[in-house]
Amino acid sequence: MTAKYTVIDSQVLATSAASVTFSSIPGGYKDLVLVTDTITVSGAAAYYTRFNSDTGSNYSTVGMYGNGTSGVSNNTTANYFDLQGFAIASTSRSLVLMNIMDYSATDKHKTVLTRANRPDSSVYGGAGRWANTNAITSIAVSASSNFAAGSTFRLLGVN
Amino acid sequence: MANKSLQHSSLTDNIFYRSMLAGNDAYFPEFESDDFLEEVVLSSSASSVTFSGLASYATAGYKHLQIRAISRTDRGSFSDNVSITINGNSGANYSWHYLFSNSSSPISSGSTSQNAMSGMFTAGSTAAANAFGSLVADFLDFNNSSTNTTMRALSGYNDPANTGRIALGSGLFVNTSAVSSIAIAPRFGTNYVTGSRFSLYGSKG
Repeated sequence: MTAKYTVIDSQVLATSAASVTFSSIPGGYKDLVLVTDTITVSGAAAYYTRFNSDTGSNYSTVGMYGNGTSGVSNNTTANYFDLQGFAIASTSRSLVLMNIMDYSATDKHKTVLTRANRPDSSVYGGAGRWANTNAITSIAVSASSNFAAGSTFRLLGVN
Repeated sequence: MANKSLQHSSLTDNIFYRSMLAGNDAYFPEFESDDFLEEVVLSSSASSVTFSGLASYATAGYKHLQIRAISRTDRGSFSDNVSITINGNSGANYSWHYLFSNSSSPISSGSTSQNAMSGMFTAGSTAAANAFGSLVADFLDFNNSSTNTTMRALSGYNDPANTGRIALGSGLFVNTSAVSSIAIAPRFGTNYVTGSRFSLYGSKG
């Protein structure tokens, strides 16, 4: 049997950083799974993901999140994927798991399914589409406040 | 996830870390004993996809199954739902519930005594060109013959002109038989289109 996951790259921040990029992502997997476990240096921050350094307004997302009081939905198109109101923070670690389906297909726009959890605050689910048929070869993860040391980033290939 | 070392710690790096996790491997989301089992990639349209002979995977030691799918249907709408039946059973033996959003407020809904599990979304024929829907569905303890079968799923797609869908769902097959086959079909459309892919994974964890 073939193992489901292959670790393509794993990074644990020794010092704070504004972004982390996985580059030269090889083809040959069916899907990718991006898993991050992050905390900010200070305050709440938006969390962004971008493919192939594409800064065009080609990222559309429909999402929902709950904060313990109410449920909120959003539908946005922007020049990155974000978590639409769900904020990572310095007060609690945030786990984000993004399924990136058929990432190397050249006949499909790229669909992502994302779940995010911040135990002290909120939970999020979203579906996104990168309106581009190019194979994904790089993924950049950033935040509006630096990721603190100890934040972890892992990219898995799904065989 | 075991604590590994003081590879990165306040003691060794002289840096104040905010987390006890500093120095550990990045979080790993699933069991490392998960394996790819089989898949169907449609080279022509098809009304359904069935994974059968699942008992052999139970014999091989797998306890849970996961289907990862990327699909689009021929329904004359931007959206379609996914139907899942088990063991060829099309009786009113299924329940499903979901929390979903299409950009207005999140909606919770569900049904009982249904002929299939649903509450999962994919793209239809009038969605944006090249837009497909995705599904990750877990079937837990699929070989257990003393409990009803449960499923959880995350599904959705995005089409800015029509907002798209995101759904967190659960399904129940009110039957204690071990799961020997799983069939996936469009709920409203006739066929899945060419290029749709359905992959089956097993977990021994």
